[in-house]
Amino acid sequence: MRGEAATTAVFALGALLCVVAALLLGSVSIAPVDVVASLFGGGGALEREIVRELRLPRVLGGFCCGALLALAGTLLQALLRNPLADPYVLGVSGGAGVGALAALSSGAAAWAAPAALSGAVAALTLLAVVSVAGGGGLSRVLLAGVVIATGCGALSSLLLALAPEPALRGMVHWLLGDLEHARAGGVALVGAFGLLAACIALARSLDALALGPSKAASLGVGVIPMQVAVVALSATATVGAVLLGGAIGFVGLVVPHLVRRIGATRHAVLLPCAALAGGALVVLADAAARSVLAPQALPAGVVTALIGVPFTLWLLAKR
Amino acid sequence: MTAQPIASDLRAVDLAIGRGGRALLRQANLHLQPGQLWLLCGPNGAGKSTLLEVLAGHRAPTAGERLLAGRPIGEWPRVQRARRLALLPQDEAPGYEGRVREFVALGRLPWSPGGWPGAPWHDPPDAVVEQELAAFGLEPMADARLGELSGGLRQRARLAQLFAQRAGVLLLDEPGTYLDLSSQALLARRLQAWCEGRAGTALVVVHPSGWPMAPDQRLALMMPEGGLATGQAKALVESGQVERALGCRLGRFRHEGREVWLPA
Repeated sequence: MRGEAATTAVFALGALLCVVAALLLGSVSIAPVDVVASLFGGGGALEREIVRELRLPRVLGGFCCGALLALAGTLLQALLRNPLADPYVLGVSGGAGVGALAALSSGAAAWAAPAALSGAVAALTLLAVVSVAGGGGLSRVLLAGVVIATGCGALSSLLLALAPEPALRGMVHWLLGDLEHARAGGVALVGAFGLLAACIALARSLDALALGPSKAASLGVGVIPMQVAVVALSATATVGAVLLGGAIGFVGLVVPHLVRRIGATRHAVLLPCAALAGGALVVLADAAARSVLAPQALPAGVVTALIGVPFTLWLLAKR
Repeated sequence: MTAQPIASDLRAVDLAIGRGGRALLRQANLHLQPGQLWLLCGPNGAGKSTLLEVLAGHRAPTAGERLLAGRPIGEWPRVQRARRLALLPQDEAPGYEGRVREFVALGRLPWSPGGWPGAPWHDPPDAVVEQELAAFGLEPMADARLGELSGGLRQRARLAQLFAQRAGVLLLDEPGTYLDLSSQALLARRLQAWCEGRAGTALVVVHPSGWPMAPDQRLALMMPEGGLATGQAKALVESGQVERALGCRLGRFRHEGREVWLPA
């Protein structure tokens, strides 16, 4: 119990350090003292502009994006009792991608966000219809999600193939996961925290779901209401993440797994730790993406995968 | 937190159940009363597990009623029901990633403050959890991950979790699976003590080879024609119903002055 509180505190501290480090990095070098001063309203006008109007929103946006992806992954893994589940499995990210790409390719870049939202909702509706009609077996839901995600991938490729040359670059960047336009105001931050709180309120029932539907029901958990709640929460988180950062992969799949490896297995601890770690991972990846080949900025989604894949493979091989 | 189970009775009235459009059981009557230990026997595929799910209220019967403490089972609020009735299904979750103590503590879920199973941070040291860990010899591995345990030890953890729930009515589906002989004997003693000493009641799916029956053992048999025969083991053997239900004969053995029935 005390160990779990300590684990959460360590994750929170680590995440805070990552956020601060990301604020210090950028194509214009600003002394750490000035960065801190700008945050609190001091410093020169230019520095203040860069830190408060450019870096801070981007860092917070990235943090929220990663936290939401990790939350969605944790929820779906608990729901489907399968460590392979992640937001992409539902096809929600794929649907959002198709919507956004359609908007971008038709030159209506301003409509990318609402189009992504509609795409996500459409994919989710399709999944729900198929799953309910098929009796709702977990492996069937997972399979249906994989099929829908594959279909969305094909549609995305089609849109890319047919896209006019000028729109192509923006579309590819969006697909790779990009925080270029992440501007998390208070809304995203409050939303992410609200979602986390809602998930934590369900933590014990999520623990029980891992025992299988029959045992969970025997322990007094309303299995079907829980499943509906988990789907709704994870879909909301996924759409939020996609709106903030495009299609950033890998975080939702792997972060919950890594946090569990470290020893946080009860959802009361796993959920906040995964959210913090996911946020920190995306922030770090984006900071690296901005600074490694500066002034050229890489898509954050590429960097999360480039950092995460070898690390995860190493962990998996290590026993 | 209560250490004593809430004594309740579970009654099935004219129950009919089916699975996949096939009728498994009709006109079944069974009354599990405090202090009684019942065994449920029948061939593979007869519908024993389905009957348990129906009795637990997780699955609807095609006809008939289930009364928990006199009240239809569907009318109980979930948490209140979970304090009175607990089911041990066949193992369906080898994927639990946490530690043994946390796993057993999940049995306390219905007793969370306010009966709200959501309370996330409330997991104080729980005497009931420690007691059940000790009862099933799990103290040395309480901090190990469940997935690292052998099948038999994992089954003991599932039993500890079940007893930690402190529900008066226990429904157990082949609880002796994977258990070594001494653990099987421990489980039998525990269930007897649970029923006699604590005024609980249990319905246990077993195969007769794994459970020596006293002549007065309460027994429910799933009959080939779809009925449920209930009574004392001796009477059901002598009427030939055991042989008809299970396709084998039970013989009478004497051990240290006690009479038991086992497949001959």
